[in-house]
Order: sequence, then structure tokens, then C-alpha cells
Amino acid sequence: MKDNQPNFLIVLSILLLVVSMALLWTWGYNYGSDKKKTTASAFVAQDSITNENIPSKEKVERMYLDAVGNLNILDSALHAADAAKSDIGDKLNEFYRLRDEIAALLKNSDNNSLLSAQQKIGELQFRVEVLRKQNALIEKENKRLAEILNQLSRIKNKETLMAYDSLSSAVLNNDIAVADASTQSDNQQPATTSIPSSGVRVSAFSVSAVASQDALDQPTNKAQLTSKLSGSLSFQNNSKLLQNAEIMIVVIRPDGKVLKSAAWGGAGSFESNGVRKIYSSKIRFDCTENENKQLFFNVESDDFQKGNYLIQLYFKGSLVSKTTMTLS
Amino acid sequence: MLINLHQIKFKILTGLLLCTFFSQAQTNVKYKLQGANIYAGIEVGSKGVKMSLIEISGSGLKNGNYRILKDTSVNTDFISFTESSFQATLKGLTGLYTVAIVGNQIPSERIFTLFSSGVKVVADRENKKEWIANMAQAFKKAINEPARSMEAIDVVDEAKLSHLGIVPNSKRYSTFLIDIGSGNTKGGYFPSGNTKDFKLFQLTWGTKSVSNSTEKRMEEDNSLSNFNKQLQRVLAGQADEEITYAVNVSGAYNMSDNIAFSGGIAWATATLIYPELADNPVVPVTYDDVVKFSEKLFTNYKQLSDSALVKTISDNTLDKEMIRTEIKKVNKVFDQRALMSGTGLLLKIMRQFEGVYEKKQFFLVKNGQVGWISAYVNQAISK
Repeated sequence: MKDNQPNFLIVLSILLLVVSMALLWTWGYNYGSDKKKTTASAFVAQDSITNENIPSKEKVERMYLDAVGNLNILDSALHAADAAKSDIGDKLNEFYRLRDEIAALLKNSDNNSLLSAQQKIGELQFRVEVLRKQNALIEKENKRLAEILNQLSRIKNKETLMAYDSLSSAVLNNDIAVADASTQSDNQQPATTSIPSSGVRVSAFSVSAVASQDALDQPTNKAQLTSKLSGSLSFQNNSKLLQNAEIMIVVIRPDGKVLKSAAWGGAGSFESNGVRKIYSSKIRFDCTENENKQLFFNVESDDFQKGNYLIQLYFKGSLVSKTTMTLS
Repeated sequence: MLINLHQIKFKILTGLLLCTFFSQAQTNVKYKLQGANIYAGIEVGSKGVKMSLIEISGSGLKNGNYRILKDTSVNTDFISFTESSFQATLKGLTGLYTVAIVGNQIPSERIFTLFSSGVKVVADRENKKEWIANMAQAFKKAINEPARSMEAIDVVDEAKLSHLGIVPNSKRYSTFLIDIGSGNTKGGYFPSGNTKDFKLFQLTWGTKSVSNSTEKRMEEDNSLSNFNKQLQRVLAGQADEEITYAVNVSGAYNMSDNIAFSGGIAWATATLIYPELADNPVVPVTYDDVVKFSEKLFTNYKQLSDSALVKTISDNTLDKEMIRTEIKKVNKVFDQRALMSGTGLLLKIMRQFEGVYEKKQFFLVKNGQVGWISAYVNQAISK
């Protein structure tokens, strides 16, 4: 009986040791697992993967493809953006590096690789999210700028060249011949009108509506606020004989009538192809041979209506340039 | 100031009658009374009595920005200094005053009354100063305002005020203003960049005096061709000498970019050369425009009738009836010979400024008759 007691104690001790070892291992494993979970949660999106210690390969691959897909969208958007291109380029390189690392990790099927891949994908998703927000901001800013540009382009005079009717009449007159007649679109360089027999060249014709308040001029497209139309043009004189010249500005209102400048003696009359026309305003200037003059004019009125305006320039009775603008 | 009931009744009745009568004499200036800053200036001139209603607001007092709301006139021929012209002038003056105070509800302190320099010059020359004093006295009594000021303005002040009233500030120091009257021509410019120094320009020739001198030379031949021949002789003779001298002495050629003409002939010429600009108070013209017009007056006067001129207007957006009325008005005031005389004088003066290389901008001012009185009002209330 005495011989059996020590054996029993030895077995009990071994059992207790095994249980304590098992408990110690379990505690140690849980501690380590919790620590990893806390670190990864900063990067991993809310997904069922986070609830598992070791994600399946399919899930990790799916996460990877989603993240890379988002990255590609951002990639095309950001490549289109000129602003801050170098900064965004650096970020993209970082993403590509992460993507390549994850792809390499996914080639291995072992658990460590999958965990590591999961971690990196989380990081990738986080960065993609930040970049997406930045992109949204850029798009919003782009829309705002595009709206401003649209407004400016509406205000800005789209220079057009003389119409065929004036071209033919000029040829009939045998006095002024017009070259380079074409219509300027928004994105083209300002068109020019050369009048060889007169030795002059008119270009860069533009007009904008201006609101004047407290001696301050501001561009506008509102008829109610407009106090004058301000315009400019380039006048190149290649003639020795021409020492002073006049450019007539004809502004045709939406109702078809000529807008007469409210300025003292501003509006007048002139002859064009045998027909008397009313001009809204006139620019008189001295010029010398080979001089390229930048000319400015204003057509003031207290009666600007809503609608489309046609603005024409006449030199020696012939139409040399025209443009349109709209007031709302 | 006390006004008895009888006088008020008289004013109201007269005002109502005269409102109807004077509306016929209004020019094409838009009539739009706004706000409380309306002033009236009533002037007894050589030919009649004129009233201008002007609106001054905001910076108007300081900057001279004001708007002529209405101008009215009645012909009375005061400088003939007869009893009938005196009574007609007194009636016109009182009537216009009543129109202002009753019809337009302008208080007495905002109504300015005075005699033009033309009246003063003739009265001085003919020793009829007492007619001015008597008229002032009779008017003050009629309206029961013994303290009312009614001065006679001198020629320099009138020319200066005309410039201030007609030419905008933006063209103040680059514009030479010449008023061609019936008996004389006067004007001037500001040579020193301030409105204190004024260079006066004067001619003893006007539209009527040129016409009278021409007719004196015609003798028995009353034909139009003889009138034209004699007119050229008048303009080439003494008138030419005086104009050339006066322009040279003024120094205006070198100092002015713009030459503006006012007076009846400026209005008539502008309306007939550019009927399509009938509603423009100021019309830019060239020397060649007036030369062609002058030739047409002699060779093809029929083309200047209202029907002929309206036919030439191709722009259907223009108010042709209004244009026709304006042309008719001109042809009623000036006949062919008066137009030829006035245009001849106008061309003679323009010729002095028509250089080969340097071109001046000529303007014809239509509502010049209200210019100086408007400026006078503005100046009086600015003090």
C-alpha cells in the first residue's frame, strides 16, 4: 500500500504541471492575439476578416483586388490633375510599392504571409481612403473653377471675323479686301482681320460687361447691374498714309436696336456700303506707320436689357470684326 | 412771405392754362420728375422767355452732374422794347414761374430768374436799361416777391456758364464751345485746367446778321442763285477776316481737341444731316458732312423735306414719326436762305479748325439753349 502512494502523487504532479502549462499557453496566446488585433484595427476596414485570427486566402485576395481597384480609379483621376502632380506622384509610387508587396505575400499560402498581407491591405485601404477624400476635394474645387471659367468665357468676347456679307461687299467696293477671314472658336487664338489696301490689321477684339459702383468697375453678366460695355482691340497700322483713324463700334441690343452710348456725343452715324448706320461709340486715334496700338472703348448706358448682344467693329465703313455676348 | 388767396387762385388758373400752352414748345428732352431736388431756371432772352427744369442729386452739386428734365420757351421778342413785347414778356415770365411753382410744385427758393447777356448788351447799346429794371419790378410785383433776385448776366459769365452747362466734365478742358446766335456768336474754353480762367471768343456775326448782310447786297435780283453768290461774298469778306482773327487770337486751335457748336443752326444742321439721330442731344459731325449739306441746301433743297429725309432711313427700328416731327420743326423755324446763311457761317468757323493732319472732332449740340441757365442754377445752389 505504501509503494502505490508515491506513484499517485507523481502522476498528479505531472497532470497539474500539464494543466498549468496549458493555461499559461492559452493566456499567452490570447494576450498576443489581442495586441495584434489592436494594431491592425487602425488599418483594417470593418470586415469579417478582423474577427478571425487567420483570414482565408480568398478573403485577403478580394480585399486586395478592391483596394487596387480603388487605387486604379484614383490613379486615372490624379494623372489628369496637373496641380500638385509631384506630391501625388510620390504617393502613387508608395501605393504601387505596397501593392507589389501584397501581391508577393499572396503568392505564399502560409498563415504568416496572409496575416502580413492583411495588415498591408489595411494600410493600403486607409491610404486609398485618404486619397479618395483628397480627390473629392480636388473634384469639388475643379467644379468651382470650371464654373468660374464658364462665366468668364461667357463674359469674354469670342472674337469672330467678318461675315461673308461684309467680305463680299468689301470686295465689291474694291476698296478694302479682307484676308484671313475665319470664325474664332473659344479655344482658338484670337482671329485677325487684315485690310491690305488700307494697310491695317485688327485683332484681339474682346468685350465685357462691367458693373460700376462707387468708382469701382467689376465684370458682370447681369443686365441689371451692367453700366457699360468695355472692350479692347489691337490695331496694326502698316500704312504710311494713315495718320489718324476711326473705329466705329456698333452694339445691337436684344431688341434689334442699336444701343447708343449715353456719353456726351458718344453715338453718331456713318456710311457703310451706301447705307447710313448708327454707331454706339467711336474710337478716334492717331497712329504712325508700323505701330501696333491697343485700343480701348466703353459704351455706357442705363438701359441694358437681358439677352444676346452683337458687337461689331467698322473701319472705313466696312465690318472688320464682330462678337456676341449675353446678359442675364 | 405772404401770398393772398386771390394771387394763389390766379397762379393756379394761369398755371393750368400755361401748362397746356407751353407743352407745345417743349423740346424732345425726356420729362421725368423724380425726387425733391428739382430746380427751375427762368431766363428772359432776346427772343423770348425760357425755362429749364433740372434735377440735381448726390454729387451733382460738387461735380456738376445734373439732368435737364424739361425745357420750355415762349417767344416774346423783348429786345424790341415795345409795350406789347414788354407785356408779352411779363406774361410769359409770370406764366412760366407759375408753371414751375404750381404745375411742378417747385418751391420759390428753387426757382432762379434772370436776364440773358443778349438783353443786357442791346439794352446798354440802345440806352434802354430801364426796360430791364421795369420788367424786374413788374415781375416781382406780379408774383408778390419783392425780395426776389433778378440780375442781368454779362457775356463772359454766360459763355462760361454755357460751357459748364453743356460740356461734360470729362471734356471740360479739351473742348472749345461756340454758340452761334442770331445776332452774334460767342463761346470760349478753359485754357488753364481750371474753371476760373476762361478764354472768351466773340464774333459780331450770327445767323440772322449774315442773312441780313447778304440780302442788303442782292439789290433787284432776289433769286436764290444771287443769294448764294452774295452770301459767299459776305462770308469771304468782313466775316472771314473777323473769324480768322478771332480764332487765331483765341489760341483754341492748339488747345482744343473738340469743337462744339450750339445755337439754333447747330440744332437744325444736326437734325437735317442726321435725322436718324433725332433723339441724340449731341451729334458728332465732320467738316465734309457740313460741306455736303451746304451744297445740298442750294442745289437740292427738296431732299431736305421731312418726307424725303424719312424715306432715306432704312433702319426700321427707329421712330420715323418722331423724326418727321423734328424735321418739320426745323423747317418751320429755318427757311432755305436762313439755313444757307447759318451753315455758311458754321462752315467758315469749322474751316479754321480743319487741319490737313490734325483733325478736330466737331459736335453739334441741340439743347444748348438750356445750358447756361442750368449751370447758373447749379452754381447758385452750390454756394
